[in-house]
Amino acid sequence: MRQKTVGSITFIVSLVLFFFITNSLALWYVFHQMGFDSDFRFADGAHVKSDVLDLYMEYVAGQGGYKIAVIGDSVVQGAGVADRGQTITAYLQDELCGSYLKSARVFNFGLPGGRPADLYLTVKKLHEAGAVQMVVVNISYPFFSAEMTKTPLLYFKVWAPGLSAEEKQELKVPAGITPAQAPQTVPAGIGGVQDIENNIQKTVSRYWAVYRFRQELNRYLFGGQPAVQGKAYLDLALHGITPDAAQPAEEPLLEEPLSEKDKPENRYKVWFSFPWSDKDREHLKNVFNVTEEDNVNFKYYRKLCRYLAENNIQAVIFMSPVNHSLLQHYGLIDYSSYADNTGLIEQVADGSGIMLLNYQEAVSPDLFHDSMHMLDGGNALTAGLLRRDLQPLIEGAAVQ
Amino acid sequence: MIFNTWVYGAFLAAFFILYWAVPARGRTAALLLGGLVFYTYYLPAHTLLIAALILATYGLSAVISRLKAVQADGVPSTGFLNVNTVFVLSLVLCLGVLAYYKYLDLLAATFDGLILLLRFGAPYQVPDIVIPLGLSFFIFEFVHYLAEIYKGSTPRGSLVEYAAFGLFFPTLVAGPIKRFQPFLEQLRSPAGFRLEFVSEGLYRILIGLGKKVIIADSMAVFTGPLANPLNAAGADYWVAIYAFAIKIYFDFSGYSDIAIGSAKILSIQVPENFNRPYFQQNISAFWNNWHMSLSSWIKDYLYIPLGGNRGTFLFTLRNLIIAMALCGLWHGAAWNFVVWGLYHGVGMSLYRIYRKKGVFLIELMERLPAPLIRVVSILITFHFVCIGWVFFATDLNTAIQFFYCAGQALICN
Repeated sequence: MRQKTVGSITFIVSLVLFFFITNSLALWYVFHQMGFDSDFRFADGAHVKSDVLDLYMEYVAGQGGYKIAVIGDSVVQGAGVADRGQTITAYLQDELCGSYLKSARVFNFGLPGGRPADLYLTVKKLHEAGAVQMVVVNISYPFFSAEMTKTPLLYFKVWAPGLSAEEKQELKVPAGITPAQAPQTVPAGIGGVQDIENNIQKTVSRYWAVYRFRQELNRYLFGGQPAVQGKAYLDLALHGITPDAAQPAEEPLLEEPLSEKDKPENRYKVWFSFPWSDKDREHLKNVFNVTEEDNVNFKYYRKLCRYLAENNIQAVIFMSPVNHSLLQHYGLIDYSSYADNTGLIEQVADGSGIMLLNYQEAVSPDLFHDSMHMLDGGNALTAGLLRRDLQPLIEGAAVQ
Repeated sequence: MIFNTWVYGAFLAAFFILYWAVPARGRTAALLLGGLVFYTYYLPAHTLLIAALILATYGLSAVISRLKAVQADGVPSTGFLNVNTVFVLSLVLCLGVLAYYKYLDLLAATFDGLILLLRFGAPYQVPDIVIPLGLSFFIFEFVHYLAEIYKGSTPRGSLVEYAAFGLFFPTLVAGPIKRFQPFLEQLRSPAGFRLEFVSEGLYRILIGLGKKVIIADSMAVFTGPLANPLNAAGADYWVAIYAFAIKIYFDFSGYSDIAIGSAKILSIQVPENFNRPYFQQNISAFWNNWHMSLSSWIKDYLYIPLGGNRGTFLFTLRNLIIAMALCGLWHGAAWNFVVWGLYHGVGMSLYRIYRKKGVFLIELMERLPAPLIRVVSILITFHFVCIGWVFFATDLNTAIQFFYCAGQALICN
């Protein structure tokens, strides 16, 4: 009898321990496989899935140290450099750790092509999650251009679930955008049964990483669902069919011809080492002439500043460096509009009490890949400037 | 509620706490309450149906008991109201509900098929029916209860006890099919909270979930040729058959494990349902170890009442085939299930013929090494069962198509 009781207690305790240990391991393993722990950056652009962004925020929230999220577009993401260790955020972390903030952790929230609405929503979500101590927001010069105003929110699928109907309309989110659903494992019930199941499922997912990441774990550990892998193996063994042949090839995407600067041989090169096509030049036109009150992108920039101020978020906005040589070379810049735009951006930030750092003239043209994306040296220089300019704010916060 | 859902997990955890929190005398009522919540969750209207059936069958059992008592006092029963009539009426009620919800569709489809064939009359419009969850299981339990009351071999129990038996949620959806008397004894002499029961129950639940979610559900990837034989080739057919055999065993035994485990954490023992069925040496033994609670029900309430093996050898075979055909029909309202049942009935009949008439063959076999005979017998039984699963897995036309394609693949290779 006593032996049975001891055996039962051992079993139940082992079960509980198993859940706790596998939970922690799964969380660590998935985050590690996703690359969150080594200068992570969003490589998928607007195709990034909402759960990846959520996971990244969860990862950031769970980290220690003094956490800074650098939020922006492809400039922050590091579109001009191949190595993710050469981004502004990677350099900023090194700079801070090597100088006055040993415990600094800098996270890259650069969403390629991101617009002010995307930045605003990222800041909001980070703040709600209490994930970081400071946010550094990057404003790039084309944000308020006529072209970008047509589609003020790029990350429809990422943000749509959290947007109000009014915001969706304002941000021109197409109808029918819903978050990616987990595969349905429960038969459709009757009379709202499914809703209850889904809610419990979400709650379990939140606290039990093994269940939440079952698909990712299968992918990382076995290369996919084991049964599907087994079927592929059998197909190969019995019929010589490879998984690629078994699946009809997807229709090749009809992509526009690559511009000169995006050709593989020109990637990560300085802008004057390859010719600029008409297409490239066309892309850069009329980017400073639309900073007006009715510009939705500008509206969300205002909203962002207001949100930062109202929520007392430790924040800095920096206007990223611009390659004036390139823009002047092709006659693409109207300095009068440029001055107006910059002035208005500064005015809104000042009005909200947010520190604005203007680095538009800070980087020399030979450190650019194009008009705004910097090469390794440009990112390092910008990170150095940020380290210098953030010091009073960070030290002030540390004193408080 | 379906077992492999989070809702069931949450429900079971909450019920476990409630059940052990209430005093022992209130636990039967707690079980009844749990069953009502469990059943209402899926479709409230069907709770009324099962409640009505419980009341009706309990009432009829009271009438049967009363009439039997009167009969025992030596008063001859005359007229319409006698034990036999009431018993038959109660069976008609239970089987009528089963037929209406489960088999009306099949009857109508068959009727419409005949009409089409004879080019006479109008097709029958089947009403839109949702089959109550676990209908086949609880109807069989009610029939068992009525039959035992009729035989006078079980106490009637109180209405609450009977309702707790009928609505016992761990076995409500997919069995095992319980017997009333052992269940009643456990209600009246409860085992009390035992940590080893909780750990054993949790272990069974985990094993069951693993069987269902990890193994059975994964097999769906391999069973495609059963649904679409024309899109397969070569060994795909065998892979599909084996995969389905694995799927159905792990699916069903997994469900049974969850049911048994769920009952166990409440210190209630319910019958086992599977005992290594694929390792049995003949088809008779297979059925003694596959879905055991159903097999024993079929034997007690179908095969034996039909006459069992009390007549000639041919009469026994007839009973066997009828019982198995009805067993097939119980599994699903379609003709392929009847064929599946007949297939097993014929298989069991052939085995009986072999045991009775194949003395020469048996003697010959006995000269071979016993381990070899055992392995070969297991393999033959397993493959016989596997081939039968084709009828279970798909409709008749597709099953025939499957065998045709598989045969072609076998010959061409």
